[in-house]
Amino acid sequence: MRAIAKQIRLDMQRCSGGTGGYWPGVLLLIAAPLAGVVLKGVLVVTGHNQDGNIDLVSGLVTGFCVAGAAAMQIQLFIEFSSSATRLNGIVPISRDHQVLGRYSAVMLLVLAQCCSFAIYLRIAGGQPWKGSDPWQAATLFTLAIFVLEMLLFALAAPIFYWLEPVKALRALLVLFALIALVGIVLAWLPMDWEPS
Amino acid sequence: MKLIISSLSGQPIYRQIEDQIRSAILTGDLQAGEGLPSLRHLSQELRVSVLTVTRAYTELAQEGLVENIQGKGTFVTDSGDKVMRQHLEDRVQSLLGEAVDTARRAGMEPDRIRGLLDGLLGNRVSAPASEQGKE
Amino acid sequence: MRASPPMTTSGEEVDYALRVSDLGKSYVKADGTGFRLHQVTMDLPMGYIMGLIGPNGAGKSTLIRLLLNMIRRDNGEISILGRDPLSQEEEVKADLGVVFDSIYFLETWKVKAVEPVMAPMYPSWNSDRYQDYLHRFGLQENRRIGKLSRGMQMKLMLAVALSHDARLLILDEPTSGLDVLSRDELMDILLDYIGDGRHSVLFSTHITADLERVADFVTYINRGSIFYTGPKDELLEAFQVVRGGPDDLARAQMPHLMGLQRSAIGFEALVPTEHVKDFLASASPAAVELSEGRYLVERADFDNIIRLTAGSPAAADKNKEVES
Repeated sequence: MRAIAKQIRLDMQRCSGGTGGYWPGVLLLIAAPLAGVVLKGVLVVTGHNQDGNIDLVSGLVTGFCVAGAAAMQIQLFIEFSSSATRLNGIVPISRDHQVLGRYSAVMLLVLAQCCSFAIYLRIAGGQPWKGSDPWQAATLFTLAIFVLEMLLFALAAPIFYWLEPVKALRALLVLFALIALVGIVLAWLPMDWEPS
Repeated sequence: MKLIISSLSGQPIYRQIEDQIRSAILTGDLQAGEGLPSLRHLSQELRVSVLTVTRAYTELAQEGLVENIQGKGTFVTDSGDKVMRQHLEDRVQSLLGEAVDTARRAGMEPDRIRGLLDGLLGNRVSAPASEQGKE
Repeated sequence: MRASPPMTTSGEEVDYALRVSDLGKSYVKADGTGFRLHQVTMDLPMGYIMGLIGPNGAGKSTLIRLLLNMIRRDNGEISILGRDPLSQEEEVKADLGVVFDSIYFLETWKVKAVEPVMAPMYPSWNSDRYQDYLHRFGLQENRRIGKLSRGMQMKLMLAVALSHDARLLILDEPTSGLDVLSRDELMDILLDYIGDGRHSVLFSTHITADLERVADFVTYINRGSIFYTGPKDELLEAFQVVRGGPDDLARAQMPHLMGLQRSAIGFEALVPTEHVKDFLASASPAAVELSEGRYLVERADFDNIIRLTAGSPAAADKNKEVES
């Protein structure tokens, strides 16, 4: 357990990008939704809280969240493209504990992000789906993001562990292209995907 | 104790250490009972490997010039010791041999050499501390 | 070739910092090309420095990566400080200090990020000592690691390696890119480090001058196999370098030499010390006296040995090719 905790700390430090601290990375991830809450407050106070403006803020928050999540994953994989990956061979953490620790760290970070996003949705975002219960909608939406990000990481991590960085990046791009293709094909199909 | 190690001379370093300690003992610079520096200390001072110093000490111990006392270190053996006297005699013989060779090359008659030796024996009480090891 | 077991001055049982037996790792592809580390066996007794030498690509780094579990071994046993690094990786690595030929921290990090990252890794991290080393090496906390010179990066890794009471230092080409002063400083630090007899060092290098003085043991890897492992002096004494004119090398002399380089103006041969007499005797015309000045016979140094044996698993065969 202690070794896993060490790995979680190490990965949090990696996400914080060379400051040696644990929290800058977390702050980066939860910053956008929190800023969204503040922005919503400003809009309400100044009387500009029309639907269009709120949607704009929601778009920004979602965009920054996705960018933050991507940045975090890149931070964690950037070591694979440099000699810094050898730090993994030195620290007194076994390979198994490193893998467990990394998944735990990512889960914690993504969880933090999703929670802050849920808070934003509940307070500021209104209803993502018209007519649904705001709490339920926020929870479901957040859960979906969480699962998606974890899936993405679960796919990317082994690819980066097994393949050389450049090949891994290519494999990941091919994978994304495939997913996009599947999406397009599904969109073409003459089926009604809207929930009735 | 003074030790000078050359990294350019063809001689292995352990041999240089060994030779210089031996000559220090034979010339009396190192007295009987006196302790040699510890292996690791000397290795750090000379900046040579521990095994190199170990080997020099081991060979000196095999000659009987020094002895290793468990847990205490390495000490110069008593010069009253047979080994020591044997060593000194060997050294005298080799120095004399060298002197004779040189004398022959100079074309000196045996009697002249004997005369010189007698003269030295008459004048000197103790032998001079002469040549150091190779430096 | 394998030398006699190490001696101790006091004769007590030998404690090993590192034992490797029959270690193997194959990167050989289906078509037979590729690299293979093969039957590596070596011992480093506690309290000594071992140098790992060999030409580039001989397998030094592969061996070090195997020791650190960074790649999986195919077969063989490794024992580091009496433990198996596979089953007890965390305990083993807490007692290891490692320096690579290039920095293992992200280059975007600042020097001051290193301590908060590394200190929690080791139960016995000594912050005062670490700060002392930073100061001694002139490492400024606010510099970016990527902006440090190679020598400074090495010193940063060394400072980490020396600050958690590691019992074994493993250094992979630590001196490449260092100036003479820094190399000397490193050698002093290593001698000081093993001074109490409880610490050991394994370092690979292609700058053999580093080894000549401070290494107690040497392991020479050539083409993925051990050529020699044992006390340094025994390797140096095992060979002589014989030099002579282009026409002074007879076919009958070939079996007596281990390595050969020829040029238009002469040859240079590595001859096992016990074969030097035979080598000279089988010259044509035979029975050459050394004093004749036809051959020059000298003590071999590491560079001679590596240069004349590298690239040939069976040096003698190669020499026959050269001859014909």
